[in-house]
Amino acid sequence: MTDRSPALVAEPVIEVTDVSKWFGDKVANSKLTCSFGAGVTGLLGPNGAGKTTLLRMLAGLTQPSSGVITVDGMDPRSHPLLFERIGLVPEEDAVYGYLTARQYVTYAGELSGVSNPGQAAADALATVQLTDSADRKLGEFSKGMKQRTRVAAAIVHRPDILILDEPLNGTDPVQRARLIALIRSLAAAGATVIVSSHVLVEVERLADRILAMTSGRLAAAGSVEAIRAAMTDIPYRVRVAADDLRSMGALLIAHDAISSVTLDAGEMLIETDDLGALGRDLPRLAVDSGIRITRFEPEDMSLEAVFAYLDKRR
Amino acid sequence: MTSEGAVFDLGYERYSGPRLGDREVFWRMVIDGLRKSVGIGKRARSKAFPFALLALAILPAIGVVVIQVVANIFGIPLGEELLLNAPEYFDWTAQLIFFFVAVAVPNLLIPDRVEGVLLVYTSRPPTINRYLVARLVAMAISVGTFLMVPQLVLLVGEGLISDNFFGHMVDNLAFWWRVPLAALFYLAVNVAAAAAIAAYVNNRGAAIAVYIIAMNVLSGVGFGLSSINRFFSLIAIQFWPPRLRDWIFDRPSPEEVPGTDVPVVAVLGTTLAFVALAVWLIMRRYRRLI
Repeated sequence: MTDRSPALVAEPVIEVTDVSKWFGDKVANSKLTCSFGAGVTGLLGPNGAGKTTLLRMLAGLTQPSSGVITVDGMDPRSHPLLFERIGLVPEEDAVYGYLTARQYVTYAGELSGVSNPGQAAADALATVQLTDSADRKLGEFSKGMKQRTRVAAAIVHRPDILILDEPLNGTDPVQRARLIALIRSLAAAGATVIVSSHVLVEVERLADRILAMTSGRLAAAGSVEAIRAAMTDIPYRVRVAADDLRSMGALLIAHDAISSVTLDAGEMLIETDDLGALGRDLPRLAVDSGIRITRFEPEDMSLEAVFAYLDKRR
Repeated sequence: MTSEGAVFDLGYERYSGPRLGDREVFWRMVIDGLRKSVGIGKRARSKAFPFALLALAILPAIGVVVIQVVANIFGIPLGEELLLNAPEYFDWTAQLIFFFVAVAVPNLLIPDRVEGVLLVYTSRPPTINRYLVARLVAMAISVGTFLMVPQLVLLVGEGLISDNFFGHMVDNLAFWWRVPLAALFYLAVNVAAAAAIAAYVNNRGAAIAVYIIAMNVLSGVGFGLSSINRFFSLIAIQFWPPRLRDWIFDRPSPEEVPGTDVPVVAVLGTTLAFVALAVWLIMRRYRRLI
């Protein structure tokens, strides 16, 4: 068992140590310490939480005001060749509207020093399923197609570190599913992928690990379940439906692990500090009392609920 | 037929193949800048302006050659003096490059910065300094083309209608090296001024207007104040290149060029200091962006 902070990974590729960033008197990031390794890390937070500033610092685009950021032990701002290993999908539009997707991605490949940028661009465009539209001008593209083009430009040089700022913005559900599959496949192949989003469902589907940010600070780190489990001051909420609610309610009130039971829209809303004990004991109590449970659903195990708690703690 | 199936992992590997060197990547950025500055790859309207200006720049050279050909055919004496010589030709091309630079430099710098496209460069190995140098080299090549091509047309045209083409070219070599040197000053002053303005103004139309107004106002003020003290003529930015051109060609400046009595070393020093200041301002602005 290790006592390493959940914000740190065992084999870090990117390390952030006590990093702060301020613009004038506005603090964008405050004393962040975390690290990133292979797999998908979701950077979660509301708009203005400081995600984009952190991503820009990770990508070497912005200097931290204090603290240190290293990629494989090196400062990306003083080792430009590290950029050969990094792919960035920025939040900004960042495309030349008069270029075709192929020209744009080829140029991105040239800038990254790929020796055969034409072929690399064709491969990257095929990966994001834009081959059929590759020779159309970007100015004619929908937001989702532009987004996929930017992803193609970010992977044209096949980086092993991918930094994606709100990559699913503007994409339709089918494109979103494809991009999520692509991002997960890159991570499965060993790439370090950092994805920011303020859309909780996206992050939940994408990331193995979450760093939640609020007001420029790191609010939580780990998997959704681990973060929720760490919130010992907030009881779990479980929605239970049964064919005899009154009897069920009476049984539950007597249980040590239950702190409150509320009737809500023909169901019971139970608050408990020990979800495990409730899950263990409830079926037994129901069987012993001849009650049939028709629903047992933890209400606040989703990322959305967890994040709402985090946000309240600010 | 088999009932077994398999999905193969196509894999994703970090690129480890050969890479273009820094120099190659730099020249690709220069080529991109050249294409943008003359509108290649953009709509016809974007190309019309620079190519129309280039045609206008070459027109006098072609006209002079045609007049000489016609005069030769009909035996019309044109006198000893050339109809148009290299230093005087700069007076015409300088007016055209003034407008070309006014439009092309903001087009080259401002959209990248304002529309976030700068990230395309800065998130990759080229540094911001290399990006800027590549952009300025692209401008230098396109403006240099504007300045040099008409001069070359004039030189070659006059050579072709002379009795001895190679003799004409050799005779002019001793004098012609001054042309690119003079062109360098026209180029440096105009591009430096326009780029420094475009680095700080985020609207292309405003940058064009500020450049045109600033250059004309400074020149007007310098011209006006030169009667009080000859050194005030050093404010007249548009007159630095012609003054230096006349020095390079070892000929007296026309009277309309203010500050002809100011030592040329002062004009040269002011020009170099101005270009250095402009480069510093541009670098400072872009370093703050990154």
